[in-house]
Amino acid sequence: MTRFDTDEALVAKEVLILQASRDAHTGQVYIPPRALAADGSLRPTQTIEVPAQGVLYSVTSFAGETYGLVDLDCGTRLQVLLEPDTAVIGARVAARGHGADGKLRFAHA
Amino acid sequence: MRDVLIAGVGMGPFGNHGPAKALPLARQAALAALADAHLRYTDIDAVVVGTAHPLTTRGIYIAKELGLTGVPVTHVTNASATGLSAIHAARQAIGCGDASRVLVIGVDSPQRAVPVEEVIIGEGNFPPVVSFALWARRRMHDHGTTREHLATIAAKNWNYARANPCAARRAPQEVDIARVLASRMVADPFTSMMCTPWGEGAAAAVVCAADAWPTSSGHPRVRLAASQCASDLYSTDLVLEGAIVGPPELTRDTAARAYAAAGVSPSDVDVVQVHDAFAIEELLYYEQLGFCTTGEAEALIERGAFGPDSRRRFGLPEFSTDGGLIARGHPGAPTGLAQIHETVRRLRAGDRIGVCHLLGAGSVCVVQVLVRD
Repeated sequence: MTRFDTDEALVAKEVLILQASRDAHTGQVYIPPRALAADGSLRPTQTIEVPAQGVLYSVTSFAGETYGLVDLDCGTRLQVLLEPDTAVIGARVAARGHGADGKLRFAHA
Repeated sequence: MRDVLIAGVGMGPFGNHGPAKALPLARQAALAALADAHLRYTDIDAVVVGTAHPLTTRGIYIAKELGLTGVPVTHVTNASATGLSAIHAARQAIGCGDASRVLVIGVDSPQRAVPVEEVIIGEGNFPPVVSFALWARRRMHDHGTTREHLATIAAKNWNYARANPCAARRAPQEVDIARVLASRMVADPFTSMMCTPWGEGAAAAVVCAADAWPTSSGHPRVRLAASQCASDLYSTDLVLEGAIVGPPELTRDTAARAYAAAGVSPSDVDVVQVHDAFAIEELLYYEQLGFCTTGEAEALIERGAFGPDSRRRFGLPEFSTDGGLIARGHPGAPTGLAQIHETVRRLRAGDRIGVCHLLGAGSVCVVQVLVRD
């Protein structure tokens, strides 16, 4: 398994690692991991790990929970749970652990 | 491919009918469509039944409610796009010569009272409203869209629904922006009046080949000039888990193919029905369906475009003229048939070209162009 090719200096301490897969031909990174490339070629992907950090693309709240879209540094967009008060679109966010409910949440870095 | 016409449409009221009502709801809608087409069930040589909720009665049992005539019965399910997908299946059957007159029914009323949102979340999605609220908040960030813009769209659709006897939400008085904004906050920036109420219901249509047009019908001929279906194309904007739908560009690409297949352009279109489950969707579809460029929608909304008399004042079509998903309601599969019902109604009354659009969880998209020749 390989770690996504990113500047390790950007990987803040304690940032969680996410399981992903990458298509070597196109460079596309998939979370959750896909077994096959998305382009219909049926090309097997490589399993990789990526840091759970990036930029907050959007945010909302519903039923007492805060949700967001995060553009990870690896180029993949995720819909995630956020810690409360994580609300600045365009600011950096990262996931450093799981809450008491066992769910992964991103917060401003 | 043979020309495909809409010979008849029918529907019953959308609303909170409760569970286990699929048979009577479907029967009412089907009888109305057959009567509108001046046909009997024995004139029908194929049936397509669409249901979106997995616990709604299967299509064969719906069809048997009308008769045991031995005709082929196909069950279609395609999330919120089920109704238009059922029309698409009927079109394919007629186009290839397998059938000449197809009864299409969209119905949803699950056997047990399991909310559709629960089903969607059970498929691994976050609540539907979350995905669309995230669209809205990003749009506000990029283009200065306000809650008032969204409330203007919602109020327009609520007011259209006041004239629709089958709408789930019929306000006794004119709805204004302030009332929409004052309703309960659901998911920032959406208040409850900017969101679909879901519900139960049924709607139906009779689709036929040109040479099977009912001889006793006095209706203008409405032709299904194009029907295009698509699913997500990979992009870095696509969220692979949790988001109920992909990026709105799916609508743009599907519509472009539908216009090309029908030989029309957006400037020809008089009336449009869209998947306005949440107000931001309709705003984005003004652009994605080709009626204005990216970033122009807000200024047009402020001037009153896409509402009553929009065609004359702006050269732009009216949207969601039966109240849309926001006010007519969105019981699931019946929604596409209700869109066909409304488009046929408008084209019979004078409009010439209508567009129906639905998006479904996954995501899938269907765009259809109807023309009165």
